[in-house]
Amino acid sequence: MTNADVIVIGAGHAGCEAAWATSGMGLKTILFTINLDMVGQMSCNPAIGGLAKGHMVRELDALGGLMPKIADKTGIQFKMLNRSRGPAVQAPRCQSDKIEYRNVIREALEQRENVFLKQGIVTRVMVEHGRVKGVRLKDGDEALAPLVIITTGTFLGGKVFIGDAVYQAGRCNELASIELSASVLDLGFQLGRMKTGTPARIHKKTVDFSQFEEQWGDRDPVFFSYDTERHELPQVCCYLGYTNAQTHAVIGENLRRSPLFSGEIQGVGPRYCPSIEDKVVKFPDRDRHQIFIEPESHSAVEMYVNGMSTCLPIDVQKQMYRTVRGMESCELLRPGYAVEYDHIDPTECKPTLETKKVDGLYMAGQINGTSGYEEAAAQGFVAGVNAGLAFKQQEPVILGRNLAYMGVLIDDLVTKGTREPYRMFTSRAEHRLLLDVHTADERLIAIGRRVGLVSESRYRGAVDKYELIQKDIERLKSHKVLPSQESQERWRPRGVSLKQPTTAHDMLRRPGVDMTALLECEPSLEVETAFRDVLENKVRYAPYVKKENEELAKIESLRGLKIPERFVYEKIPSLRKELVEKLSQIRPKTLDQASRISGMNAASLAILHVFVKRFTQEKKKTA
Amino acid sequence: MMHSDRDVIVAPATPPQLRAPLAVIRVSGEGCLDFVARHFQPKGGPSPLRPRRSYYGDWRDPQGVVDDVVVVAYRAPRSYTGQDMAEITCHGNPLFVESIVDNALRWGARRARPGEFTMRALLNGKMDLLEAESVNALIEANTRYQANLARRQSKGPLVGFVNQQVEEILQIQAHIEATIDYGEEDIDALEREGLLAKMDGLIKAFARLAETAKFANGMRRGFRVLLTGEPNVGKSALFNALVRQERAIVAELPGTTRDLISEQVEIQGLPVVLIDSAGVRDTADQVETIGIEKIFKLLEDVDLAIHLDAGRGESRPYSQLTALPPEKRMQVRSKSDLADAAEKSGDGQPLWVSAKTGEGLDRLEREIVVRLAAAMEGQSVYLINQRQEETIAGVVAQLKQARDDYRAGFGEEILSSYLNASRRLLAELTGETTVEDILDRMFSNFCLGK
Repeated sequence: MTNADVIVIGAGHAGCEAAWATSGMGLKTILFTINLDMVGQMSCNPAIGGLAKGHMVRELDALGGLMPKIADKTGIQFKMLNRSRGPAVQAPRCQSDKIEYRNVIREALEQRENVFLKQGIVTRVMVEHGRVKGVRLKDGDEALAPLVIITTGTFLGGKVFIGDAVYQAGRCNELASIELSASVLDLGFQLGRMKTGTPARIHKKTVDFSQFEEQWGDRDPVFFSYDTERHELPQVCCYLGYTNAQTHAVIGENLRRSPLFSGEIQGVGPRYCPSIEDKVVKFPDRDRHQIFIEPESHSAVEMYVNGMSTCLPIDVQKQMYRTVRGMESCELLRPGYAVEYDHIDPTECKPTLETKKVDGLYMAGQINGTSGYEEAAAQGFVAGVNAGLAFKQQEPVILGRNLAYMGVLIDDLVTKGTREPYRMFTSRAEHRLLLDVHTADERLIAIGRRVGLVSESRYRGAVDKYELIQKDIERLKSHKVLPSQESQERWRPRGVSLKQPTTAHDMLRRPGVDMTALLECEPSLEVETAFRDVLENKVRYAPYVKKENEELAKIESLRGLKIPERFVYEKIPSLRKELVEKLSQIRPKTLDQASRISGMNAASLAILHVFVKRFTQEKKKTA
Repeated sequence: MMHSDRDVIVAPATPPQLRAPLAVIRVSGEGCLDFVARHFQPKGGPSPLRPRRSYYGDWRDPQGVVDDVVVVAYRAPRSYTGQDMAEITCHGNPLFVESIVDNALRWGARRARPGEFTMRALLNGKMDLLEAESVNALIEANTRYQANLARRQSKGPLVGFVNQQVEEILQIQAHIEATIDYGEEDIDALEREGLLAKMDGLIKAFARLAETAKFANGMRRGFRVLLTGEPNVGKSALFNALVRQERAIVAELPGTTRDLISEQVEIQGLPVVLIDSAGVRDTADQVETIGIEKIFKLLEDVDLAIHLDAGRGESRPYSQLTALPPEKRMQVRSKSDLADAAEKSGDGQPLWVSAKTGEGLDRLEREIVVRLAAAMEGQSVYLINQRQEETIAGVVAQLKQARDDYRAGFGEEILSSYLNASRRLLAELTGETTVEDILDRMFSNFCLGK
């Protein structure tokens, strides 16, 4: 029998992040994995980041998370997406060396104080008087801890499909976690099924890359971590190609052999990650679909065929992949497959990701109905930090929707639930313009510092950085650009005519004027910050930020009003019964959260407001 | 979308019927008594007003006295809503009610949503449990009525039209969001010009809809038609002729000054507030100058200005008149009985009328109706109340700002934030639309995801 402060079940992206957080907060942490060789495995595409996802990885860095560090260390191509657009919708992405990623993350965890990474299959979560007590393992051993975080990914009741071949597995050829499903059911959670899929991996040396368009990363890469200065691994190229009519014909002829269309798969798949079968069926007019051939590792010949996820039978897969120009003689190293797994309804969780039914039990990642490495890591972090804070009997961390995509993610999950694997999009954030990836540290580093995952020196550094920028903004406001002849001559070549004295600050808001132009045309003007793009964007987008903040102020009074944990909704006679049921189940923390529950209208909200106020006042009186 | 529950709201508490004897306007929220103090002059009453007592006096605005009114002020928390509150009772003419509401809006108040006064009473704990339940029943009934109304209207042309525009907004946003979140995928991107064209289309559609509100407004409170011109061109004679002909004299409405006379008349089915004014001329007389200034001020608020001249010498409309958009003014030549046929013939002749013989009056009336109903031409949908009007005006403002910022070089994410704001405004008419609606369209329009 082993004892610990916290047990994490599963060492994927959610589990690793959770263990990193709890151990960093000083909790003795046991991290169980079914296979020690597969810690931090990237089950699907060899990439991290992208829009909204890259935002979350940045946020993790500001909070003191693990994924950004490992992604930077093992990145083999970095790209800032949407460089031509506004700062709020730019995001970093990298291609990763999968094998390195596994090695580096395992090393990071094994070297970390307080983490005990162990191989073992958890079969049962032990609960006593509504509180979690520990876990039982397949070998009969038990491990005890007052806190347990479940991050089972696709392994909980995992089932793999390739054509008509169906078998239990968490990933192709990897043991699934079967008994644990029954244990979760026993605790009173309802389980649903979701599905995801992955393409085949092909042999690098059997592809004619001259038939593809080369895709390189940025020359001046932007990293996930604010601390990373350079990449460590040699950088690689990806390849853009297309499917064709022949590809689509092969798929069409063999559709009935796909478990997706035979009705064999019952789990709900993600719309945003469709298999190639789905694409061909849903968009029959498209004569081609984009695919990207991406290297999986420097130390392997495997190439990932991005855009051609499939679970057709292997013989059809071979035929299908070989219809692509440049892939006529490609060898499949592993087939594509679909995997179906168990998940719970995330509205069973509080915003800390602790379950409402069992004290001390947390859920994070795909078990909450999400998809994606970054979504998993974000939840793992939030569950880990809040488990740590609960252990220390401190106030939980709940990130606002105006502070972080991570906050949007958790709030959406615990308030609305999800019917398909949930993926983050920037459009899900109503305050998108505030969630700029460049300034995540400004919004979040104080929280990282408070929970003890960010060092004092790092925190100081970020505070100083933004103080300097603020000083520069003031400087821009006080510097006058005068319509003198000299000044006119300097500005004219840039298509700017000066009519009256203007502040440098206002000049920066004119179309076509950027920081470089401003400093060149106004030699007497100086700025101190090295982050000139941040300074420039802060000035240029200030009116929009102001507008967003005004919107926020309107809901502030609701956000401030906390609903007591023991509030009894059934006692409100004037609310609709369905709404009472929903409220009782979701148990919103604040009136603001309650306002987002579907079916809530202004009248019901006002009534709820009155009763919550009264409840709080009565409690004060009796206390 | 949530609103603050402390800002000042205003609404008539009595139904906006034409000419009920009295009407009550309520205001509630922090600072609303300052607003009342600014406009209300109690006859011999104290200032500030003592709460929960009624005071009689004049309601004034920059144009002068609006009406004599009775005001009761309440101090928080001893009021219906639990906030500072006032009830203003004026005569039941919709013109007065609208003026007072308009004063409040200009001061910074906002029009109350249905049931909002009661909602505030609930929010401020002004009701005990039983009362809350019964008021809740009322709110529910109100909502059910609205639900019924909404159901009936859902097949109606206005909701249909707005839904169509919201669908267009969602399609634009689906497009924008696809290009933002899936920038590297094979999407037939709408370029900047394409998006701008779509924005222009939306603005045009909503602006045209907003125009129709003027018609509905006119139908509700009477179209304001001003007779103006130099002294002695026959304005008053024409005024009397138009009024007498319909025999629709209801009550003489005293204008804000002695020199403005208005009458409520019906012209071929349209309610018209016909306003006779003093002659406009250059003068050194101070009193006359003040009167003329009033006419100039009034011009900003009329639906139609009829410029009358007697056809003697040159007809020179004054500059304030020519500053009006052409559809808001018409030229009419009076005393046609004194002119000969040769004078009246020829191209480009204005409309000739004679108050004495009645010649041309029919044509004038038809012409007035054509002008007033111009906004409705070819429109199958129109706005029927002020709330809708304000919503649509808000949408037009958001869309224009969006287009201008986008044209100035800001990105699609900025455009999208304005479109979100527009959809939030339109939710009052169409029901809420959410990000899921955008994602649905995004994934059904574009083949996205790897």
